[in-house]
Amino acid sequence: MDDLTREEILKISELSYLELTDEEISKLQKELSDIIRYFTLLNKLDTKNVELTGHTTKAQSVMREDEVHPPLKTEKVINNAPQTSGEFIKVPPVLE
Amino acid sequence: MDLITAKDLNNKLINEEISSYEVTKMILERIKKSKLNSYITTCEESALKSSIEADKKFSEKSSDITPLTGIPVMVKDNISTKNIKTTAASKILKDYIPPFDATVVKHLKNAGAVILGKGNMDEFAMGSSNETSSYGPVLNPWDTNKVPGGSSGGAASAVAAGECYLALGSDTGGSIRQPASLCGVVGMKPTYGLVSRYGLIAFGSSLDQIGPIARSVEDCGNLLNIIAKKDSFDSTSVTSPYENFTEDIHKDIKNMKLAVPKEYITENVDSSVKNNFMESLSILSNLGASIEEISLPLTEYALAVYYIIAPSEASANLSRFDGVKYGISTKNAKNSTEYIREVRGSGFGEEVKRRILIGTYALSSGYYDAYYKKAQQVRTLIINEFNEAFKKFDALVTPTSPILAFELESKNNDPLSMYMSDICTIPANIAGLPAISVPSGMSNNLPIGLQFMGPQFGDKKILQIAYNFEKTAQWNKLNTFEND
Repeated sequence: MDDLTREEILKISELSYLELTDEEISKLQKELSDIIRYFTLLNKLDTKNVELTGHTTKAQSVMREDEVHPPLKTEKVINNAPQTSGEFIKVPPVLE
Repeated sequence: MDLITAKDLNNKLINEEISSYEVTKMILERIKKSKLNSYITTCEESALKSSIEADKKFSEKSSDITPLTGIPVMVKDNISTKNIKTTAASKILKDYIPPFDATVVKHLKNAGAVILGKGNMDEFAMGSSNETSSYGPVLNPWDTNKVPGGSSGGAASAVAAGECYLALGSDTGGSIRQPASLCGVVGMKPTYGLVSRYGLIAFGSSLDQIGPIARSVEDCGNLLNIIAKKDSFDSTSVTSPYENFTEDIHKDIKNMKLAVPKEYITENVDSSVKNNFMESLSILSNLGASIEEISLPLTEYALAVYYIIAPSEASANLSRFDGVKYGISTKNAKNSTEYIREVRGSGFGEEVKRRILIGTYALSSGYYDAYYKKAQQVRTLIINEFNEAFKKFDALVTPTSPILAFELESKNNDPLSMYMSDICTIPANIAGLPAISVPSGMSNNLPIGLQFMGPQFGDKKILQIAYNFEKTAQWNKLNTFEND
């Protein structure tokens, strides 16, 4: 595998919602490419028809009673938001 | 006095030879003077308050005294503590105050423990040297030019240096065991699901497990007894098959069948670690255990599987950090997208960004089958291989870390070489197995650790084996560094 291009890094950073500096991008081109090349080691193994493991416990769709618990206090929760207005969280425009 | 075990302190507290208040006060003073940087936050006021409450229980000979009552403990900073700042060592959470306690923290409080503060760590638990923390590196108490290991570096360093008696860490690929090994203390990753992850800031959800770090195997087991409980707030948590993990700890290990998987003893294992490992095997053999060499050929694939699965899960888990509900903010963004990109770009450190990007790449369309799906399939094969081995053996024994504590800043420019330091610990997370690291010797005044891995829910048995080893080897009694 060739090193990832600048455009490929930009594409992944866009999907990840991460702003990167030019310096970071060129450093990451090499670092990510080395790591991803290491992953190709797995191609040595035949995994045809092998099941996937997501979790090591066999638990599936765990159900519990729908009990009402007291909710967290709004002020305690909202105190952590960097920008607020009254009881609301403030964000920059979503639609322009 | 201060480097005794939690069990010995508990006895002194019960006999009222010393008060929890005095011990707590003394340790808080020591933390203030310490250069190790093992704490991100200390909570003096609430700690002293809990110690007074504990002392009241002792003077009243209360019936709800537990092995944890009045014991000063540290909680790793990725475990939520109500009204105590919890940063996961990230700039993006520098002012975050959780409005709730993680389930394990509730258990600590109910048991009467004194929470001293929050342990320094690699940012979001991503690292093996504690150097990715946004709050500065932690130093190894045995040699302050060396790293303590990571990601629970603050916890291991503090337990070793008498800056707490017990600590809760988290282990996604070795983050409890590797620092325990490098700092000469005991660290255990329980079976996946045994301890609730509710309130643990998620990294790799199918791999993460909270566990104890302590100065003795028995202390480790006593803390596990308190935290291993099914929790309806974590659907992957399970009912423990044991009420008490330490009840059989004193039984001998004659006729136990141990195996050494030869793939763990590669040329990358330092010769001092290798020699020490051979000595440890003869101790185990003298204790009556049988030891056989076996082959687990899939071991060489574990690291690649881990570095696909963990970053993939992390890239999803860390999407919640968008500077809206919590976190830092930026002033100049024109719209939400730009805002989120700026917050995350400036709030996350280098290693965290690297892993988010790897995970996003592995999950992105066109690459999903080649990386993420493939890794999940190989994960199944690795689990099957372990299951076969545990049909014949009670536990596997390996070194915990292939190398001794290394120099600060010596591996920062080579992520892959840093990742290799977890080569012996990662397989247990992939298969959800319990594993414990116990001190097994010294080389150049640096500690070496020995790891026991058991089958799923074999936690009780590995504690018993580790206890027997510790009792004979006695390396946990050696704390010769200047800690004041």
